[in-house]
Amino acid sequence: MSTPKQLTAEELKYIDGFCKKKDVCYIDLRIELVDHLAEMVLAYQEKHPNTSFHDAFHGVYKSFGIFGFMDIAAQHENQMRKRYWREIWQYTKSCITPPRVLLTLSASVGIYYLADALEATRMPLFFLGLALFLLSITLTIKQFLNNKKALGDEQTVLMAGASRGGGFTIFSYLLLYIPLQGFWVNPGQTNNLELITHPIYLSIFLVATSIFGLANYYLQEKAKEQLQEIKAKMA
Amino acid sequence: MKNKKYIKGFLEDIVLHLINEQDEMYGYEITKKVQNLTKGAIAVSEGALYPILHKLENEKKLTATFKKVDGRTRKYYTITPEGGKTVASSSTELIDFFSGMQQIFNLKPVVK
Repeated sequence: MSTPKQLTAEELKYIDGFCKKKDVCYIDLRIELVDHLAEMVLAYQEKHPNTSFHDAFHGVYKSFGIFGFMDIAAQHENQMRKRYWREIWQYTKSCITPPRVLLTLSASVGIYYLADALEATRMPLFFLGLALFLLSITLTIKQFLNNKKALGDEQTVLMAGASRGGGFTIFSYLLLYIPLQGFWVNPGQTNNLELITHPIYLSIFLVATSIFGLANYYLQEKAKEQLQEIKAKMA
Repeated sequence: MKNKKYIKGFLEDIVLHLINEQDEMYGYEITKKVQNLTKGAIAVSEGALYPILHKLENEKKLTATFKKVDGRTRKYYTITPEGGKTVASSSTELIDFFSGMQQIFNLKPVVK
């Protein structure tokens, strides 16, 4: 009995490159598509033994319709976005332990009283929060670029989510953009200045900024682990 | 029956049921299994299958592992206890559903 025909490493590389070209950027989805297409090509060649790999491959790709992998990739991204938010929620939930809640509340109350005591000189506290916020963004981007350098241009959803996820937008928009917008638009208007230097705002801003920085750090590390795990299994 | 409108509503149950029957399955294997079991009457497209697999994985009804097979990496899906519970409850629901359909359409087996 002859052994069933298998695709060569070059042929598999061709399929992988083809999927990449078709914007299937997530490694886990690409692994599945490469395997599926390889099986389809082999089945096609079994039926039509004289067909070359290229003809067989482009023949089976046609069965994915005119949009090719577009729909599968879009739905995968949608599912993975949900997963990204679930990870964030799970991380947040895991942080809600009595000592951590106590620490957060103490930090919030401490900052509140400090801001209240400072009264006329609260602005430095706001700039400290702003510095922390910018620092956490800078560190996240730096961490992402380091991961990318170490792991190549492969992406997992967590990695993509942690780098371009809505977290930045929502967080910065809610905590920073809205109060500051009025301030920058009309600097003479001191109401906005009062808002961003209000003890309650400052305590929320400083504590949330720190939590946000930690959450993003955690997500990046988890993304790196996930990708290394997949790559190890591929080796 | 290759009509997508019928398959769509049942695909999640079909996938869970098939994976539950075996230890583990991969995407292409599921499409072939459906095709073989139904003698080609039901065709599951890749465009419909993979989003369902990822959704079930996301909902923790399936877990996935990667294995090296024939020089390429393959993603295998296994049922979780949560997925097992869904299979059990959907089986009862499907029996009730098909018995209802039977009443409506008065379906008779086709003798060929």
